[in-house]
Amino acid sequence: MLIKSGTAPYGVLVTALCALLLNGALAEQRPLRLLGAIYLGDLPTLIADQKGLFRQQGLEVDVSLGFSGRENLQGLLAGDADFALMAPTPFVLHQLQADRTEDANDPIILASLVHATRLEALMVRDDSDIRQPADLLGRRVALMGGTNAEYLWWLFCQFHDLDQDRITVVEATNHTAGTLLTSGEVDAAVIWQPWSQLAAEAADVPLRILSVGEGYTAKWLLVGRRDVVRQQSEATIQLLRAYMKALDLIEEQPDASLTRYADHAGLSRSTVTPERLPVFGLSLDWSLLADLQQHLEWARAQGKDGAELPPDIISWIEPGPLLSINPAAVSLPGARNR
Amino acid sequence: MSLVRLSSISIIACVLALLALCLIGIWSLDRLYDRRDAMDDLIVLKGRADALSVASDNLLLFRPDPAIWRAFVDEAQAVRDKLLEPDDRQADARRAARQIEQLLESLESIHRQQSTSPPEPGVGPLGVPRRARITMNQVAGHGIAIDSAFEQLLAQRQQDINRETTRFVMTLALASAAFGLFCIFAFSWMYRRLAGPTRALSLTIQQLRQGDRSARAAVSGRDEFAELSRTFNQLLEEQQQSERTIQQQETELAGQSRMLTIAGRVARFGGWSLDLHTRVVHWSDMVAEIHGTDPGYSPPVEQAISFYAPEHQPIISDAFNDCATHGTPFDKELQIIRVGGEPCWIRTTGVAVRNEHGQLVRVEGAFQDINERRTLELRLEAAQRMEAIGQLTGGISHDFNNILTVILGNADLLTEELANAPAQRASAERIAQSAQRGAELTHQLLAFARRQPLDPAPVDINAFIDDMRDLLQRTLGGPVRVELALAPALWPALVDGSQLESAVLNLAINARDAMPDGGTLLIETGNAVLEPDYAAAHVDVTAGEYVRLSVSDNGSGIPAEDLERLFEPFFTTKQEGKGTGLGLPMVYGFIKQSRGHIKVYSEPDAGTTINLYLRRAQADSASDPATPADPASPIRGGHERILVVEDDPMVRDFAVRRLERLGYAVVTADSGQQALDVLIAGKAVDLLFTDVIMPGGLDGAQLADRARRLRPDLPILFTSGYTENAAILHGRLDPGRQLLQKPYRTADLAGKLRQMLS
Repeated sequence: MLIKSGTAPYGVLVTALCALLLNGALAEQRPLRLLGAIYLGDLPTLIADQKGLFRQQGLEVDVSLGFSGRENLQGLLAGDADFALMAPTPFVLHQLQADRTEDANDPIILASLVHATRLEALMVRDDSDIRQPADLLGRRVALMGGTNAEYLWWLFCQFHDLDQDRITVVEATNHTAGTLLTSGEVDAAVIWQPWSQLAAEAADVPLRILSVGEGYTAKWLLVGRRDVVRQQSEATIQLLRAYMKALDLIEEQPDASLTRYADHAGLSRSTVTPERLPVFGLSLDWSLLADLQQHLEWARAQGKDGAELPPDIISWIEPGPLLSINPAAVSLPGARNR
Repeated sequence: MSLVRLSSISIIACVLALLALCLIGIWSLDRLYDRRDAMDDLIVLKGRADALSVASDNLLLFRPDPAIWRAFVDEAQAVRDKLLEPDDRQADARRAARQIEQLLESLESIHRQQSTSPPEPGVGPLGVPRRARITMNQVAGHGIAIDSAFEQLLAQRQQDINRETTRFVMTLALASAAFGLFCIFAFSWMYRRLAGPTRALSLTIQQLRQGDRSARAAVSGRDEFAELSRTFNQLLEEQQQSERTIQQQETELAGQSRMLTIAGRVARFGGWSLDLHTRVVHWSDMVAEIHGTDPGYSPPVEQAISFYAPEHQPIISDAFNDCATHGTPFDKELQIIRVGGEPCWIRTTGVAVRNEHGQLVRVEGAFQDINERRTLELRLEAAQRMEAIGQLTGGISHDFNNILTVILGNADLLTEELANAPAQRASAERIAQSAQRGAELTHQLLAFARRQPLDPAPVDINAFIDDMRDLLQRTLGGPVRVELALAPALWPALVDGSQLESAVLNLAINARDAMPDGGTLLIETGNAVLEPDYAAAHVDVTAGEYVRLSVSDNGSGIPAEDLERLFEPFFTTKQEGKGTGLGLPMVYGFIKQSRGHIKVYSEPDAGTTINLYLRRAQADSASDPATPADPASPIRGGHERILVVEDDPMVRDFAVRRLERLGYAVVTADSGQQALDVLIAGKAVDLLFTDVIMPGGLDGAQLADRARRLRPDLPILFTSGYTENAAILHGRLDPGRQLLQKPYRTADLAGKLRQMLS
């Protein structure tokens, strides 16, 4: 179900209000609230929800699929949800800006669901004269700030040695970035699936992927509130089990899974092929740490707030639940000692 | 369902269960081995992937030549293809394969970039350009992701192996548990069906062993055990019935054994057994007692044979050998010498015993002490021999007396008629003297044959012997001293005194002859009671009260071999001409005829004692002793009428002539019937003179009885040369009846007639 961005905050507020009215006992029995995204990298959430995998694990989960991880993080922080899925970029930006002391409402990474390179893309109109990255100099690029699109753009510039100051960045949302590109208001756009595909399908001219972001590998994090994770540790574990089953199901039935994804995202089924299936896998490993460190370097390079202070990356991650169900997926330093 | 069928089903089920267990185990092990092989392959593959990761780092730092790049790409594609093999189409494997593809793409992109854009000078803390660091980070991320995927894959495989192992173990455990439960069930069932009845049967046997004869096995169901219990109970019934029968038979057998033992003790009867292997003879207690040995004595066969009298040892040895060698049974009456030296007659029988192979293994037999019977038999034989001799002697004496009567009578006639011819008269007198000696001899023979006429009467033996003392001393002469040992209060004896005197003289003379150098003749008297046992052990002896008269000497004694023949007529150990051999036989015949008993004890060189047992006279034993004719009185005749009855014409003629010479009138008859006819006819007869034995159906005694009925006062004088008159007349003559013993002389006849007719 596609939830419009305008109605979701109200729903969250209503839910929070109801939760406040209920007593503790009722609160214990209320469904878990999970915020996902309309995103190919979040296919496991869609599959788990639609295939009833949460219920199979004895969980009653109220799943809401929004437009971005940044919004999911905001919902989580606002108490609208117990768990949320997001890219590392908004999570790192929040952690840098947040109070460094431990708080019950702190978001905490439970697992990474994906490690993929084709989920985001820098797209240009095929009829434009932009043929290589250097052709972007002096042009306009649309992207959604505070998301992995901004991070990818930086990496792209670094990789291709482009002077960001010579390229104009136009703030846009996922779907507006594609519209701006197809309308010619911008020369390029950094968009992720399914918006890039939707934009391509909606454009009157073919869109061309200039780069899938060399040097960028997308990750999609399952983040929970620290108090929920601690108080409902068993439910958290069952939630991870449901995701594991979802991942296995996607690998076993890639076509069916992609069809569900296409139907949900409003994509043409013909454009969603198995070769486009990202690499899913629950993990907490060095690649996540490396990615987060690289985000920190991005933040410092970009002068983001709080980036000047050294963070405690390890404290952002709670490996316990994943470790209890799949120890091999956890290779963080000291994870087994925590 | 029968136990056999149930057991077969159980065994088949157990075998099938075991086979299933084995198949499950083999199948599980096979799966486990497959998983382990896959794990091994994966470990190898992970090593190759690790090498790729390291190589990718190297490729980022150094620009490889085309060959190395191509080898890297080939290796990466090989690892990827291996991961995508049909058997490994697991999600983790596919993810790892795509990670490799992404790595390859990234590296190819980097190569392309490097080929178009030369590396910038180093930046950053380590002097590594940012782009390079970003790139390396990207690649490292891929490598780490690959490694993570591999780790998860390995973990998944390990989990699979663990799961398979667990399943294998659980399967085995469950199968084992199932099999165990089945075995428990089977054994429980077996216990219920087998151990239960077995224990019940065992308890029944224990109860029986403890004496509970009423214990019986419980019978439940219709299986083999029930059948076994029923059969067991039936067997118990039959066994107890058999035991009762055996007990009854044993009781009867014990009774019979006791009776046999008693009978054996009475009959002195026992058994023996010779083991042909050990050559040892096993004697029963009675056999040992007969031999004079201790009970249980078991001598070797040679020693057993040595007990027999020397002349019988070859006989019993041959009998043993024939029986032991050929199985010939034997039955012998032989004499053994007991341990004490006493001879003993025994009867022994033997039969051979064979084993199941027909081999002779034993000789068994019976053994009886027949000494008493044998002795009696010998005594009976002697008595019978004496009886036969007596019969013979009596028969001869009868005829001989008739002859002597004629000879003696005629000699007397000749002597009278030849009074004037002294030479012829002397010849006639010598004839008469010789005939008289013949008559005396005949008399002795008749005495031995117990056929002399006796006139028993109560006699005071002490007085009788005391009266004979002088006679004996004179008869025996100086060297022999006569001593008397007369018991006081001696019973009177019923005996013919004259004959007793003759007998005592006879014994005294024999004693004297046994003491040629002199000695002592001791005559003892005493009362004696012969017990029934003693009487039974001796021939012709009646138990009762007797007066014992013993005549003993301290002479040369009588050898044992002579003792048995001592009373045979004409047996003598004296020199020829010194004895007739009729002395002791006459004494023997007299004592026996007097219903007494005679016993001889003699020891060579020690002396001889002859005991005469004379019947005690009862109060009514008074006798009417016949007055013997006085031989010294003159011959007196008469004129009465005498009826002479004699079947022998010569004797009848002689008697007629003598009577007529004596002046009597004589009427003759040659038979009893003719004499009776004379009496019936009423002829005047003053005296009946008749022979005792006559043919024709009416002897002298019968004639006398008839005559008495016709003429009660008719005197009757019997005459007989035969012995049977004593038996007919019972040795006693009633008043008015006299006997004239043939041969008789004229004086005897005349004296008897006048005595009776006066």
